[in-house]
Amino acid sequence: MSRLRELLSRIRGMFLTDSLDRDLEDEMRLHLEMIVEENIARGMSSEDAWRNARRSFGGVLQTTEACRDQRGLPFMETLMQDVRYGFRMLRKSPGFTAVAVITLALGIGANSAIFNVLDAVMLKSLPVADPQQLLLVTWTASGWPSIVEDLEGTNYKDPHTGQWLSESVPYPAFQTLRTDNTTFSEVFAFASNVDGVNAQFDGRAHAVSSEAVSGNYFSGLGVQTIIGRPILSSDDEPAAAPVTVLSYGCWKSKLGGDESAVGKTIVLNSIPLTVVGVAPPEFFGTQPGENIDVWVPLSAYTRLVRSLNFAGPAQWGATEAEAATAEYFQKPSTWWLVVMGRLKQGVSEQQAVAELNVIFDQSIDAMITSEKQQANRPALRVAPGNKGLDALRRQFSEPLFVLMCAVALVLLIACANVAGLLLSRASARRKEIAVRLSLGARRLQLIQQLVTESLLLALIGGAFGLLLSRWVSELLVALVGSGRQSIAIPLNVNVRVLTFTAVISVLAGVVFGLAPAFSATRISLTEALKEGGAGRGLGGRRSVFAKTLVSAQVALSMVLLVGAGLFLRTLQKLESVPIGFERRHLLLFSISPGLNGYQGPGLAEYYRQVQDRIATIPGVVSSTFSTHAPVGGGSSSSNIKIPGVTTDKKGFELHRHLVGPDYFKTLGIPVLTGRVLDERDNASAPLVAVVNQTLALNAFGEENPLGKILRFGSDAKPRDFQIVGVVGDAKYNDLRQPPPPTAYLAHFQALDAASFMTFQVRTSGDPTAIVPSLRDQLAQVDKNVPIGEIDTLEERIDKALLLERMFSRLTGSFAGLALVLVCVGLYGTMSYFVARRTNEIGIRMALGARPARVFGMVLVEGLTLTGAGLAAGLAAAAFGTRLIASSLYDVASVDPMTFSSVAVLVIGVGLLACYVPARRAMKVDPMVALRYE
Amino acid sequence: MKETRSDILQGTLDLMVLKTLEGLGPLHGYGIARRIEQVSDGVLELNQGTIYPALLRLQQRGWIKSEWGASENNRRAKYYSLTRAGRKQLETEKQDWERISAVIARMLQSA
Repeated sequence: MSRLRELLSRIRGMFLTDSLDRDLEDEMRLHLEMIVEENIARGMSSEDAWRNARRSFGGVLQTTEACRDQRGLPFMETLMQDVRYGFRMLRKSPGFTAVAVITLALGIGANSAIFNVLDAVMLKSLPVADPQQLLLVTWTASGWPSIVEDLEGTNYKDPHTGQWLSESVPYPAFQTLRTDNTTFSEVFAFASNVDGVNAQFDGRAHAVSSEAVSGNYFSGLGVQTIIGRPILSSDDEPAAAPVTVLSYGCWKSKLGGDESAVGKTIVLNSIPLTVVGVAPPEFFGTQPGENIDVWVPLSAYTRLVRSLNFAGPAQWGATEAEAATAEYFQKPSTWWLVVMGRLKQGVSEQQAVAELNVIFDQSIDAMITSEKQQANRPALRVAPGNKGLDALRRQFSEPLFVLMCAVALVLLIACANVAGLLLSRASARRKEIAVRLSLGARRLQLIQQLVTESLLLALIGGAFGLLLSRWVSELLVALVGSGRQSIAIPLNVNVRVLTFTAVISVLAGVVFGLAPAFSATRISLTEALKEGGAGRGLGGRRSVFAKTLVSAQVALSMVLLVGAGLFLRTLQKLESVPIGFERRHLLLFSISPGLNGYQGPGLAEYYRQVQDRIATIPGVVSSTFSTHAPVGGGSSSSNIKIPGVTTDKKGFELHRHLVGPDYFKTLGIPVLTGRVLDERDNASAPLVAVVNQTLALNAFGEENPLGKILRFGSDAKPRDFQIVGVVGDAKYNDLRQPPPPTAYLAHFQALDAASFMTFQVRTSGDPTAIVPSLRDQLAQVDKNVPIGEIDTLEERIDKALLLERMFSRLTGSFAGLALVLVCVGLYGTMSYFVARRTNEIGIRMALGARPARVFGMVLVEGLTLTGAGLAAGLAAAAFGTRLIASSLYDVASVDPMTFSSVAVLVIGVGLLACYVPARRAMKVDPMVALRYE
Repeated sequence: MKETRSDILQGTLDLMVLKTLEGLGPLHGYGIARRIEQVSDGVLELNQGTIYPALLRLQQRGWIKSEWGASENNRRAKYYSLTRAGRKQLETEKQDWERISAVIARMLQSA
């Protein structure tokens, strides 16, 4: 207690130095005067009295010093002194300071940037009230549970345990979880699928994304609206008037941030809804990465999706279709809701889980009818709900981890580089250090001083790095965000990012500062104080250390370069992979007229009209439409029977596409045998199919596939399609996988017309030039059907390769940065050695060594360092690249081509870095060098 | 030559200052130093200045407090006095000291 008081008092003492000093001075003066007075009273002369007083008091200065020491914190004071001194030293050599700070800023900035994205994706909590109280309901099953007939949202099989995992539960389970629990203050739910809907804001059509939420969603999360009110439980009643809450971004972009938006009516999928509120700007929902525009109550959701699943003109009121939809979503076999809950105060997670388990089990008991179903029974689990769903985290955790490793390597190289700089600077400061040592400074004090300087450098570098990182991480998110799925990742510099940057800065400062500081203060005084004591050749511990640093940098940069090289090769392979389509001059756009109520013949007529309109646009060669777009447009697969090929037990797995007229001609897919699909293949004509080469080969081998039958549909109602043509393979979903067996069916022969289509337009020139006329023509068909994304095929391919390209670019720039740093490091070290050996070189040349020999000697020395690093780097890379093997395509993780070109590159850079110092060594004038001694 | 004056044993100055303030009440630095010299009767070599760091330390630990007041001839002087914690501390230190000096005395006699 008294020690603590002393500490506090000392801290106070540090800031009140002046007034406390004055007090002490007064006190001591009085003390002396009192002794003097007493002495004079005893009969001494004034002079003797003073002399005696000073003797018996002792040293005034010593007392003052002792009191000051007692008052403040000596450690802090030395630190402040070291910091001031350090700043002075850094200012004195601005060149060194600039190089070191820039090096560190790049290293730390790269780390901070990746960490910022990692933080936003992996660590950040939802912007809601007390997120740590939220729990997320999930389930797991050892085999796929057959009681789940329809599952929406994510499900995946854990590669390690083989267990199925999902977050979606059926509506009845949500109801009982909500009403029967006693441990949660609120249990709420949202649809796991974010649905695209066709919207009209102020009469203009837009394609927006919607999320259906339970009435207590906003109150459960504790999210308030910035204007208006959130969705309430009363809005979720079956008979309630349909309402919606807009996201901040949607409100700004679609309604211009109009304050009077509340009360306005917007139309979603032909259903009018009243806007009741606008969510705060930071709230993006509970599915990180999803960009949600509108929230609607679950009760309105069934009415919205009705037009998607059960096409029909959507009028408000209870229709048959609506009842059917409602029934579908309330079935216990339709698993589509994600459930979250907010724990009551003082309830432990275990209590809550125990209770939820019982409720959940009861709710699915009735569905379990067989032993197999019992074995694969879903078991409830809970996960922390503070970060929302983890689809985004699962997708990006590995890439971000790899990037984090890459930037950590960059920082290590930067550290080694600055350590090298410090080391050669320490030689320049030998005299200063020797003088201070000989004047009685303790070695520890000097080390403390030197490390303080390093820390200063690191912190300044860190500050610049932080500025840099903001820009880099925004670029990174923009890159990710322009991807196939638009991903919204809100970025901000928060306490975690700041702490991370500060910690790595300090760590870096200690890492690169400590060893040079120890080495710099290990000095033989007499030798150092003698001028010219520097010329002691390349030997010595410090030189070994400097050489090791350079070789280590080479090795680390090798690892980065090899990684970057492998990603680059992967990208190149993927870019040149044959996709089976003509890449150039193809425009794609998607429309969902089904959401506006088009169905049956009307829908088919709409598509025909659009196709006819497009044909009138100048520059259009041909156009077509299909359910799935080429490259990244997804695909549907079916398990069918092929008479004569499949058995009763095992069907044939194929991908199927519904396509419109002119499909193969427009996309440039070559016809190998037979004919293509055209207008004569309509609903009344015999069912026909065109298959790709892979299907023909897999199913029929050498046999002629023409005339063979593909049997779709159920056993009771088979639909036989006769193969009339074979076309070349083309890739749809995944560029990395070989093309799957694919069947093309005529759109006119489908049972139901698809409510959405992707149109593909082949143009003679730049496809984007026709976009304005395209919008015109579509508006003339129906202005209420919005156009989804418009892309060229080349853009689509770019987007599909986004992650690969981002990786290749990022690791490439990090590796390039590393190479520059290594080059600078090698150059610096070699120049330093040449400078130190000037007189040795002078003697050699005076004794007859030819300049070319001296040149060669320096070059060989530099290349030896490079070679040592190269060997270590190759070994490390061969080991390290195994970690990224799964991200590579058609490239071995120890690709000889990549390894050898990187080795050549590094040797080239090594030569480049040594060339200038070697030239300088060659130009040494023996006379000057010897006189210098 | 016989050494008659001793350096002050480390840590005993605190005890002496506390005891002085207990006996004489509030005192300024000069008064404390004079009192210690008087009691020691010239046995202790005391640079009077050394009591100031000690006074500061005792204040920082909350055992004594100080306030400015007027001296005998009406000059501004800082007066130190014992706090309640100081009194307790003095008691413990006194007991410690007696225990240790008893031990040392026994040691010297037995040897």
